[in-house]
Amino acid sequence: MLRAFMRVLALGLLLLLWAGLLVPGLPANAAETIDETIDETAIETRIKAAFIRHFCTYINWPDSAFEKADSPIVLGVMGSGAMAEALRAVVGNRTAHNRPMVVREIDPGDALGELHVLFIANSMRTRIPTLAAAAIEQSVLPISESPRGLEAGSAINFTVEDDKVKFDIAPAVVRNAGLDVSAQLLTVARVIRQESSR
Amino acid sequence: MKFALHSLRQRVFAGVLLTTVSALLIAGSVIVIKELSNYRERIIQDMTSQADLMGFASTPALLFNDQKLGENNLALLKARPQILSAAIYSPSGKLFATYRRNPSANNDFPEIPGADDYRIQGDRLHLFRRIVADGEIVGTVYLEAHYRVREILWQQAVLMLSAMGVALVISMLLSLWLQARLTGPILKIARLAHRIARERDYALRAEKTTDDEIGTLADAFNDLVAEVERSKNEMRRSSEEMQRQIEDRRQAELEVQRLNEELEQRVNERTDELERANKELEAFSYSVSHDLRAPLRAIDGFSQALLEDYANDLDATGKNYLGCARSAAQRMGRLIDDLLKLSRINRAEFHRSEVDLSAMVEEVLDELCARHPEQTVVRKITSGLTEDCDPQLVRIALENILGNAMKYSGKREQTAIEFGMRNYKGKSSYFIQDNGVGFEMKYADKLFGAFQRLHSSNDYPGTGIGLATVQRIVHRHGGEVWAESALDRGSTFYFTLKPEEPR
Repeated sequence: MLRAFMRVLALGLLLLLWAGLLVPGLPANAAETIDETIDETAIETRIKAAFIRHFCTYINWPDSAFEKADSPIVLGVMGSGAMAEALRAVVGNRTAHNRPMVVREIDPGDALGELHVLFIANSMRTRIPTLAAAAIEQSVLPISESPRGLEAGSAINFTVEDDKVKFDIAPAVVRNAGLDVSAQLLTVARVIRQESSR
Repeated sequence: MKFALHSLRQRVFAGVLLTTVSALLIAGSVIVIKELSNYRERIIQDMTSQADLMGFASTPALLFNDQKLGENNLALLKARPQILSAAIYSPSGKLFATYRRNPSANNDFPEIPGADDYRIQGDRLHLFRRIVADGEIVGTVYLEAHYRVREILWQQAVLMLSAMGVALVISMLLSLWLQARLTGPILKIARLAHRIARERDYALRAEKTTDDEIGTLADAFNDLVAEVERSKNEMRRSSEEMQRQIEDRRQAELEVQRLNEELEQRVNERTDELERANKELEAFSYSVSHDLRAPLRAIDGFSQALLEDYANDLDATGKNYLGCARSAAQRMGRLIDDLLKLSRINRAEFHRSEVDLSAMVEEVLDELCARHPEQTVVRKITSGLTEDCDPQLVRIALENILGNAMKYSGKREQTAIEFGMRNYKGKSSYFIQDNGVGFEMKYADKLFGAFQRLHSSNDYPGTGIGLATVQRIVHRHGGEVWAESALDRGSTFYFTLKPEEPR
């Protein structure tokens, strides 16, 4: 368990380093003092945030999804302030498809029209079917982190197995949203659902 | 000779082989070097692109932390046998995924990935390639490949050596063919030249087999031999000709010698005869002259007696006839006197002594002027001319020439006589010049003959013996006498008194 923890910890730190991001004021050995559960959740969130950022590289939106050539990719986060924060940290000034990325926290009932990615936190798992359906309607990529998320209509769903963050992807759903998914992304996805949900 | 032939053959052979070997070595070396350099370039390019591909394929694995995918990607390298091991490093420099072609080999991977670079260690190529996605380094690919430069070198060497072997065999065959085609005819010509030199048989000819330079050589050789043969014949002919000419000349010389001897003998005989005849003639003329004088004196004397004693019995015509008889007898007497003089000159003893010719001319002229006081004579005599000669004979000669000068210029108002020395056609000669009637040059050769007269004795009395006497005297001195003149322009007599000095 400790070894597994250490591995995840190392990976997380590694990802942080690679992202050029260190939590300000956090000592290098802080991880040892932080509560195990909380820490594990934070690291998981950061890994997911990094994954979300990389999804943007492998997903292609139609030009009609953007106002201008340099309009940003808008990442909407619903139900997790931690995720929004982690995403902001991960995204920084980085770009995908030569577009800047911005993170926006979304409340239930907000319009999804300006978004390109919608992350639905586990706290909002009951709303996945409606949110995902609405997102797909408006060429927004729905991402969830709940068990059976794909069955609920999400396009990408995070899972944690053997202390490692994995994700499932439903290409048919992505395509239903009018988006293209790179085959390279499919090589990394753990489960690929070929059958259409509709 | 044998060795030289051998050597030419060997040289052609060695030349062909050397050319082949060196050409192959140079070309082979260039090819091997090029091949090695190509191989190096190719394998580096190949490995670089392989690493890039691997990096591109493994980007999602790195981004989404899928080590298994990374390993699977690397496992695809099984299709590339020369890649011995490979690894993917995470951006932080940790090993992310590894691959070993031979799983039992546990060689270590570099702990830290290098920059985009390669290095060659022995027969291993190590290559690092960074994986870049969206301008960020997402990891590094490491490849270890078998760098088979030695193998390739060996392969190339074997290839080259076998090519060389084949080429050598072909070139040997070619050189044998060349021997037959090229050196064969040359050697044949060489043997022929040797044979011609030994046997001196210039009728031999080289056989022309081809139309190339060797054919030209054979032609040239044949021409040369023909030329030698021709010039040898020519030489023999000309030598024979020369021999014959020499023989002819020798014969001719012998003939000439024989004739000369004969001639000499004949000349001697004739000379003897002539001398004998001359002596007889002289004796005869002396005795005739001497004996003729008595009857002449009788004719003259009795004619005078008739005129004196029987003057009254004779009419004018008879007296005239007797006068004529007397004058004829007297003329004949004078003639006989002159003839006697001439023969005396021939018989007179000859003694040379130093004579002052200028003084002698003055004396003779004095005497002549005394004998002909009616003539006005202007003299122009170069003084001091002396000569080694016989004074009595020369005086007779001068008397004759000066007498003639006086006689033939007697009808002039003034007689001008000049004596001196003059260079006449390269001969320094004495001359006596007058302003008399002269003579025509066409008679010049008759001038000195006895009894030869150019003028009638009525105009200029004389016996025609004088100049003959002069010539006789000059000849006895070994000199020459000749004259120059033109009608009414006076005449000049030249004479020398010693043999002409051989120049």
